[in-house]
Amino acid sequence: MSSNMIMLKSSDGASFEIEEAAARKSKIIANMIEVECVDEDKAIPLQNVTGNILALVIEYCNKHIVDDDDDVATEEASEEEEEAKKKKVDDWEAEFMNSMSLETMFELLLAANYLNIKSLIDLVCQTIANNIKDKTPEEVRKIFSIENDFTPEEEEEIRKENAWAFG
Amino acid sequence: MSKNHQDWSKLCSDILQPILESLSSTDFHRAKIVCLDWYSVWKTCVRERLRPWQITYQGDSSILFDPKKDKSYETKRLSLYDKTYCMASSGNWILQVNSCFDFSILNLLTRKRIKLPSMKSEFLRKSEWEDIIRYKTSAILWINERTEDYVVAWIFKQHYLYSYKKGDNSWYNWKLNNDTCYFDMAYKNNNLYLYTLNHYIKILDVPGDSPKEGMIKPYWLYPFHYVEQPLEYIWKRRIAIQISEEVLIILSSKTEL
Repeated sequence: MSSNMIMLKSSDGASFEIEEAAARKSKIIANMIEVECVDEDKAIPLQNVTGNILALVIEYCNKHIVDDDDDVATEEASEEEEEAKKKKVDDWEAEFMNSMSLETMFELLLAANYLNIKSLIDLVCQTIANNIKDKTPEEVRKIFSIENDFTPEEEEEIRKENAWAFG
Repeated sequence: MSKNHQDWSKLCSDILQPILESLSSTDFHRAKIVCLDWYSVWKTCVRERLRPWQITYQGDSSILFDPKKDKSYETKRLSLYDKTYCMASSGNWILQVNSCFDFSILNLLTRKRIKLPSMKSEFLRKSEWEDIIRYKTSAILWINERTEDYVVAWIFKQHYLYSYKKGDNSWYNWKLNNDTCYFDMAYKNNNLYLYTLNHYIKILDVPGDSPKEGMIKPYWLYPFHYVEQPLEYIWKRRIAIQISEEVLIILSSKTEL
């Protein structure tokens, strides 16, 4: 396997070196590589991603590129091994998301969306969904600092549609 | 970091939509009233069909059981009439009648009830109430969940057809050809399809100001013939209308041994 390294540059000017295989997790970067608009000596500028968020994205990509390689190497792996491996990834992802603040999650989600990394979008979305789970609308507003911009009449009307959900 | 620009209510719909769609039924419905932006994204969400829920009464409350999530929700008791017969259903609504011939349609989730005119004066005897149950009365309910426009119709003793739609003053008694009896009926796109005892399919136009038999009689020349096998016995005949408006006849048969 070639381990071409490419350079990424964040909006605040930080440069990161990343294996091409890992960078290809991003459809946007993969496309750039396909159409050969990546200059070997030049860093790819990512204007919408700050350095600390890009570091997280790269950590995620590196982790998952290693896993993908393992999959190829052990195609005949037994079911238990597969399961153990999946659990390892799940544990890593849980740990990765666990320490993250909502602010960081928000930025990471926008970055993953901008870079088009499907599995990372799914991971962050799932974590956000877990934050909404079993919460009342008031609690959800508080967690995400969202202002209630319904009029009381509108809110009452919508609540009535599914009164059972509000207990 | 650009903390000040963080506004969770302004998450782009491409991102928010899958988040909302992944929520459980209760969380999903709660999430829509967080704010206007979430509500407008919520309205574009596509959910896989819910499986039918089971409603059980327990004291003053009723339990809604969602078999898919294997989860129960407790809610205030639904006020069903005493001694009621559920004639038909449509979406969250059921059409029911009690032994005094008071008809109503009831939304099982919001508990909203719409009363229909009573038919007490036309059905005086108690035995007639029992006939409703004994004849497995065929009835239809159609309701638009948003506008709450509705149409109901039912056939008494396979013979007398009554219909009522939103805004009517009273039930309409279709005095159809007296010789005709009906196995079943179905409703689609303002048309009432009747499956007659002599195997014809009649189409009636219900929502007009004065209900009338439809001018279009596509099935008039095509009665539904089914030749029973020796010892075969058909114990139920139903009619259904496909989305393409083709008519389906469903027979349930038994072979006597």
